[in-house]
Amino acid sequence: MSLSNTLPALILVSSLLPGLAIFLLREDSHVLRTSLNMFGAIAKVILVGVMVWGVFHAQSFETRWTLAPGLDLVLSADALSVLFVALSTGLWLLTTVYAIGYLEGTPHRSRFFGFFSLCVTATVGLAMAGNLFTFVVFYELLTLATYPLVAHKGTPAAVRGARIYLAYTLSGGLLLLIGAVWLRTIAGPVDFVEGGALSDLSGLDPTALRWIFALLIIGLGVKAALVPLHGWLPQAMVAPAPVSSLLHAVAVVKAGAFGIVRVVYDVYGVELAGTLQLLPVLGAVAAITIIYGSIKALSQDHLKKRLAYSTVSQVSYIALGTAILGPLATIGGVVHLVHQGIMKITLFFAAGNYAENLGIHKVSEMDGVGRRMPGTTLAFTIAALGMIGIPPVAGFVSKWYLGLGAVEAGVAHWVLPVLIASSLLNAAYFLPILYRAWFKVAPTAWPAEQVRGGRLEMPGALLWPPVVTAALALAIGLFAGAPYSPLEWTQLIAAREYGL
Amino acid sequence: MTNLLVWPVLVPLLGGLATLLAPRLANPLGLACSLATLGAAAALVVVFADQGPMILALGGWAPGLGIALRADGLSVALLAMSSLVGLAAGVYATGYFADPDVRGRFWSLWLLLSAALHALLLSGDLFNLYVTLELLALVAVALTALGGGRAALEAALRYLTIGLLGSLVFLLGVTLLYAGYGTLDLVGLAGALRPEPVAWVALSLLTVGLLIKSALFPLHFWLPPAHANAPAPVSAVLSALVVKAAFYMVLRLWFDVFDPALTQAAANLLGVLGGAAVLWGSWRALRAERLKLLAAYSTVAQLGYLFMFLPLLLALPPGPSRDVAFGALVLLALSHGFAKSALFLGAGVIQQRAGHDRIADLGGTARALPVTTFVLALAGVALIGLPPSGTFLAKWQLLASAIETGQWLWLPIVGIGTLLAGAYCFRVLGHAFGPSDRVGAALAVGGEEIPALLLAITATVVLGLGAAGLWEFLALGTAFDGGSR
Amino acid sequence: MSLLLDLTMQLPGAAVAPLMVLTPLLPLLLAPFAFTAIGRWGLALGVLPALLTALLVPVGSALDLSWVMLGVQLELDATGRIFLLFSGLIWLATGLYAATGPDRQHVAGRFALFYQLALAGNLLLILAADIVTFYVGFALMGLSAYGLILGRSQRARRAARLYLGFTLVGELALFSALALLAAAAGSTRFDELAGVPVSDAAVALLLLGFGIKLALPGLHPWLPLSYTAAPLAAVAVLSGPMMKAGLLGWLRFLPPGAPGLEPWGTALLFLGTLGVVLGSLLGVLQREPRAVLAYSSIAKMGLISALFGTALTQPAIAEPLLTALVLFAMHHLLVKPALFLGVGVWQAGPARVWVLIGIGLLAASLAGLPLTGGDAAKQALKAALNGQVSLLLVVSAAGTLVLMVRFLYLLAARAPRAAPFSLIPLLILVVLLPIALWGPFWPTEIALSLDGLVPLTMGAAVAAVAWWLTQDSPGRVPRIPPGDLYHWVARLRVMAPTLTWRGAPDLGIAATATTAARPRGTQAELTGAGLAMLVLIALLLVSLLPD
Repeated sequence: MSLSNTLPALILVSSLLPGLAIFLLREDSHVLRTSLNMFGAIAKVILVGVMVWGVFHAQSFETRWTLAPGLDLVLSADALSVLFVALSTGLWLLTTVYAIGYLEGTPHRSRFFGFFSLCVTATVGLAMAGNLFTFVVFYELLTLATYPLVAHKGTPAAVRGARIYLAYTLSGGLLLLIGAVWLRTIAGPVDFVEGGALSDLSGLDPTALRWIFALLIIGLGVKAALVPLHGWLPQAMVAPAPVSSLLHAVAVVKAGAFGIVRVVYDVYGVELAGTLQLLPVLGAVAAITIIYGSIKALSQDHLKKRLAYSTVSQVSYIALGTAILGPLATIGGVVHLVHQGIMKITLFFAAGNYAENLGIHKVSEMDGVGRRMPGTTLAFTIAALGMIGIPPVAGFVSKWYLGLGAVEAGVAHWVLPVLIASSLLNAAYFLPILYRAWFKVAPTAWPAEQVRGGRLEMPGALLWPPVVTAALALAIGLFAGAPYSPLEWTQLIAAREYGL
Repeated sequence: MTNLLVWPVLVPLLGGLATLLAPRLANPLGLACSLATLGAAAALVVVFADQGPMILALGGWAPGLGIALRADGLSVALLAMSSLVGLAAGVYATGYFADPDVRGRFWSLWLLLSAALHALLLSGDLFNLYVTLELLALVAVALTALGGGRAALEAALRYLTIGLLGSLVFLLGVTLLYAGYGTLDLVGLAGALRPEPVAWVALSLLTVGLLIKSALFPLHFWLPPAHANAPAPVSAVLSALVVKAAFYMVLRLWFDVFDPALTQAAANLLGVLGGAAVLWGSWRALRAERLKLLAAYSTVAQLGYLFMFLPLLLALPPGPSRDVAFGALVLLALSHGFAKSALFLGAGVIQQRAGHDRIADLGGTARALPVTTFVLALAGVALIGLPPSGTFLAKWQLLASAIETGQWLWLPIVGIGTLLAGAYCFRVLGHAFGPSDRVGAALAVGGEEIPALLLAITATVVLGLGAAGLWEFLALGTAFDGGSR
Repeated sequence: MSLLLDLTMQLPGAAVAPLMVLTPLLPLLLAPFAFTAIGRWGLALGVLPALLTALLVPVGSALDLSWVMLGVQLELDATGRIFLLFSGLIWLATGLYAATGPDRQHVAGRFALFYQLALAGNLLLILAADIVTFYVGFALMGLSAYGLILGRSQRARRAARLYLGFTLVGELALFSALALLAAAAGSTRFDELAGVPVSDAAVALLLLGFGIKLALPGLHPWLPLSYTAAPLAAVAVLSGPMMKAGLLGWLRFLPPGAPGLEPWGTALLFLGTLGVVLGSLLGVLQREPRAVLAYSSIAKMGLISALFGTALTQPAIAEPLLTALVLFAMHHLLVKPALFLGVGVWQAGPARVWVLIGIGLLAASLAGLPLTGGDAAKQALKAALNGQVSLLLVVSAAGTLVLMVRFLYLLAARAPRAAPFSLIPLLILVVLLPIALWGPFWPTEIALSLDGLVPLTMGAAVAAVAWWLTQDSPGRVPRIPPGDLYHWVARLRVMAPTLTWRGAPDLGIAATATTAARPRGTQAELTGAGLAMLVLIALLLVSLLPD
């Protein structure tokens, strides 16, 4: 029982146990619940820190548990999983802080935080999954853990949103399952291997492999909200703001995108995927999604809905980067996993603050909100600019590498126009918000203003998370070339995937 | 140590008699017996894991003449589940029946049912199987009627009639076999059996008789009203255990006795029926207005999955891959047993608290009964076949076997069935999370919710994460030699 | 080209790096303080390290900051130094003017914030020695200028919106072009870019991206709108340093002599000529002094573009031509902002007659009258061109003269604005006057040349004829609003949303249709999801089929 084969399990347990304990708590034991939450979040950050350090020093971590003959639950750490684990763990810490502040005084908090912890447990498990089977297991668990969170408010709209969410994700999960079983049947246990698990096998039927690829990608595409599988995402925005952050930035959508990356690079491998001609289709779907999501976002007046469609569009950058063969595009896609997460979580935190503090839910109500809530709006602004791809915020770095990758792969003639159109559309739906917030005159009365004392515009637990993530988005863009930056780490991943 | 085989039958039998004599002490006696049965089952498991298959010839006669009890991995596993589910349902029942008379009758009937079931699982010859099956059916009918009320009585009567029909058909098959081969001992039969008309006819009769009892589509129509109208603890054991007994016999006969006579076409027929059961049962569950009816239809669907394994098992070459699929089949049966009993017990809690189990009026359950809502969710996870439940692993193997043998038909059926199961389970949860407060505002965790919770956790977590042992357990060998498994 | 380059003093080596880093960094550091008391004076402070760098740091100093962004490379080369020096001067003058001028009460806050950001961007792009850093600086500058243009009037907001639309398109064209370049070269460093063939797509995108900044005809409507509506200080930096950044971009990325550039050079020559003609013609018809200056900028940038195009078509004379072109551009960089600042001082300040004379001198310099820096720049161009395209130079000079006459006429006819008396802006103008009048040349380099008199005569004749023709009936003069094309297109109501980026929510069209909740049953939703998947499967399948 050395650290190398228990650490992945410990990382899971660090949020699983607090989550289970929280379920048992009485509603009014606020202090204990908060302590458990924070203990779990911080413990996880520390454990993940140890793992990052270990992986960087070429140490290997693996927990293996046999469930059935030939079906092993494998949790392991490679460069890619560590990237995702670190992202979700870090953002989870912030989201927890935010959620504690956001839900103060509302009912059913024990239930909420219980599932909240389960949700991140599933995400981290999914990130550390060492084979396709384990991935499927945690992928489904994630669906389960998020359903109660989406339905949390219990209003008809919330229940309906949750139902739609479930209909989509269960269907997607099923296709993923069939694809995974099929692959397992013809190719044996598919461990995730840098360079592709299937690359060592020969004599597999190409037609079957194509079908399996289609099943896997469609299954993952539901969570990644690829058009036309994206319908649940805008509906799920009825959930409380911390849940939206979780859905859009930390867990669900990311899980789908991460899965696509895994399947392309670590199951099929770039070489085989190229030989089978699988990627152009994925690229086309991603491109359509990018454009479609942006166009839909334009016409949304509801702030969270606009952000949701923006997610639809932005997450497909990851798929797009994956679909373009070549290390540079890989870097662009994978690093966007991190960048989009940090920027989008900022936007949702801010949207939550507007709703919480002033009752603002719509873009058309945001006139002059910048002066009223400067900290939140500043964070929102930085993240929105990053989404557009304006340097030096992180989003620019992703776009730059995607563009370079497209040229490198000789597909610039359609990728660059997509990137450009998307950026323009991003600008077209984000800049009016910024304009309203900063430059328009505030109304005489806000829709539902909370009267609070205190020096800050919001309680600290609500204000600091967006400010921190916005600063982070700026910092990782500004210091993208620095050691240990997400970009640096992604370059390491790309180098390994391509065997460079 | 082979007389260990006697105790899982004897303990509940004696307990049933005792409660009949002292109905006032029914609760403590019944609980003690259930515990003792569990102890006997546990001992059996331990010894089996250590020594492998066991045979006990009662009265000292060699098998073929006298009564022989046999235990292999399959029967021990089912027996263990039966005693666990029985204990949980019994604990729940202690608080369920308000009327001491009814309670007394419940315990004696229930212990008798338990004895019959265990005897069935351990029987090594066809006649004993018939007798225990018959006993099981009669006790089950009596239990169904226990709740009183017109609907329950009607359902019980229907159950009885259909059950008798099945028994007759089965008996015909038994007779034919005895006439043809002169023995009813399973091992002896297996050795003598040839692929010839007698065997074919007998197999057909036996199988169809069992199909009725295991409520395979389109012979399922009796099950939903019976299971939905019985008292909750009774529904739990009916759905979880009794229908499985018939399926167990199908499995036993097909693969341990009639193996030489089997054809893929026959297995395919059962598989197709199973597939239809999955689709139809799930669809009806989705349309059900009451929670217990939903659970009953869900049982119809889940049994369909079990039958879908048959064509796959037959098509797989004997050896590791068939063993893996067979283990998955057992795992599915076990997971379903635990999950379905949990669901029924949870439904019982809701019915008692809210006075009804209409799904559309479940609003507020999540607030008033968080633990039971959690039970419904966990049971749902197992019924849908999501990880980490044992059903998930079983379904994975089902799909894998289907792909391996090229039987692509099962893929869409499993897919649609899964989605339908998701729809009906989360339909309940969606209502439970809803805003209304018709279930009552009292936020309380009652002791009666605990058995259901433990059952649900067993189905969803324990069997999911600890299932690997099951395959080893099953691989210890069979006491029913002669088959090819 | 002696210029100011002889000024280089010996700077301790250790001070070079901090000074170079501080050049773009100080404005950034000052930006957060824009809303505080420092904000106003920070306007003038931010640019000081840049001026010190330009004067003290030896040419060729380079800095490798590979840990910042995608590996920032800074280098001060000869061209960059000239740009840095004169841009810095204008930023300094404008900053001082904004801090002390008639609008000084309003500069702290938003204006100061965007001023610092734009300044940082401009300085960063000048020092940049790699593609990404250049782009970052260019984008920072271009987008921040939006906040500078955005005044308090409705008109300014409209102008700012249009500016932003064009700028975004430009940024993205540039992004694509630079991505193409970087991928072709396999590196982002300028020094590894040399000799790498530039694809046609990249050239077209570069011309587009920088052409928007240089307001090539067709890409220009933002310019007159912004110049007439934005605060004067904003216009000053827009018309000077920021605009010339477009030229710097061409110089950096389109080295003459690279294969395949000749046809593009011809196209640019044509476009630039068009700009000269159209700018002059439309400018004369304007009724606002600032609008005339705006069109004059279009005309001047047209000339610069045309000459750059010439350099592309004739690599043989490219080197001297580009050197002269940079001087010419620097002259414009100095004079145009000085003119705008002069307008501001004239409107508000004391000593109006003297101010008007000063403005007149500046206008004369812009028109290239003898003994001015404008004339010297023109002579340098002529020398480099060996007599080619001399007609264009003459036309340009004549056009400018007419425009300047028109400008002075309109300015003098304007009533002054009531504003508090303020001496400092006047002093700024007084200091700036000689620099702008003769810069970028030393006064000793200015020789009397009568060549300038040819266009002078032509221009005077044209002006006289025009005046005589319209004197009796002003109504015959067609009314062209500043921003010409924009208004015509807007009137046609075919404005693309990218130009106005109004977006649907402001128009309120689609929002209600999509947000209206339609009740749907579970089955319908499941079916919907299932159908969608089927469609996708079919699509994937079709393309997955082997060829």
